[in-house]
Amino acid sequence: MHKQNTWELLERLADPVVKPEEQRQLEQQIKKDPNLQDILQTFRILQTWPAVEKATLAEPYPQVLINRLEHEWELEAVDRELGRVFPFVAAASLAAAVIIGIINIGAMREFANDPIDALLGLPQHSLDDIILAEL
Amino acid sequence: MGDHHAFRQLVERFHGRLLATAMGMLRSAHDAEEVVQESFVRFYRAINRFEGRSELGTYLTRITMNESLKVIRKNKRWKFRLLSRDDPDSTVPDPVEVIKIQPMETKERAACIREAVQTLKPEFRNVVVLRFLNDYSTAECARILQIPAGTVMSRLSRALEKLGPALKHLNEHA
Repeated sequence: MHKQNTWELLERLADPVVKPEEQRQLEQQIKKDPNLQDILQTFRILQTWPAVEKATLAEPYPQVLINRLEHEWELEAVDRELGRVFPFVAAASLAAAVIIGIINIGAMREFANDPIDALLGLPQHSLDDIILAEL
Repeated sequence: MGDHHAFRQLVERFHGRLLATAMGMLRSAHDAEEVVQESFVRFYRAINRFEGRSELGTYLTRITMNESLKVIRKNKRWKFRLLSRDDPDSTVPDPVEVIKIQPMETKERAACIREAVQTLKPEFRNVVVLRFLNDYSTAECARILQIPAGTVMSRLSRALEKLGPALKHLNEHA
């Protein structure tokens, strides 16, 4: 018998809605084939598997998994908060840089060679040059 | 916060079922627990990709099956690395030899079935676990494993033939 048909036969036999007459016919069919009888025995043993497994496996509470997920959620929350704070930090840094630049330009305009040097606070003459000039 | 509460409920609801699936597929309880954890974490990270086309239980079972298969492949690679080819222990044991005939307590009966199932090749093992241990229908098994229903049926039938000798003695102690 084709493997697929064998399985269909077993499932039909195990179907709770199958009529007694059909069940008898199916059992007759199986009785004729010793190989099929063996397969049916194995099928019936495996049908008891969930029950015996349930009776032996005391299902543990998934605490380790819950802890792992909580850690994941914590990291996610930190990332979210950092994402929220970042634009403010970036804007404040930029504003501070602009203010320092303006102060530098204001204070160093007369002493610097060009605006870039003034922005960076670099005078045209170093302190040594000034001292030497005054000597 | 509400999402986390819902996810925790989901974990509590499906953890047992997925653990049974992984236990059916893998020899080690530790590996099974790891697989279930990884499955939930993967599902959580990709939760936005879950389109709800299949049932949640089916979807999670599929992830668990794939993770279990990964572990089986990894363990197999290690086994081949550790055992020399001419090592007599490197051959897969015959199911009949693995199971020792003895009076059956429920616990031993469960262990016997599990041991026998684990001697099957992964492609036979997964259909047996899904169909018998998880009680999925043939069509559901096909959906989870993404193979035709006919293939599921013929694999189940062949798996039963292979398991027959190893489980025969359990009938006497039923």
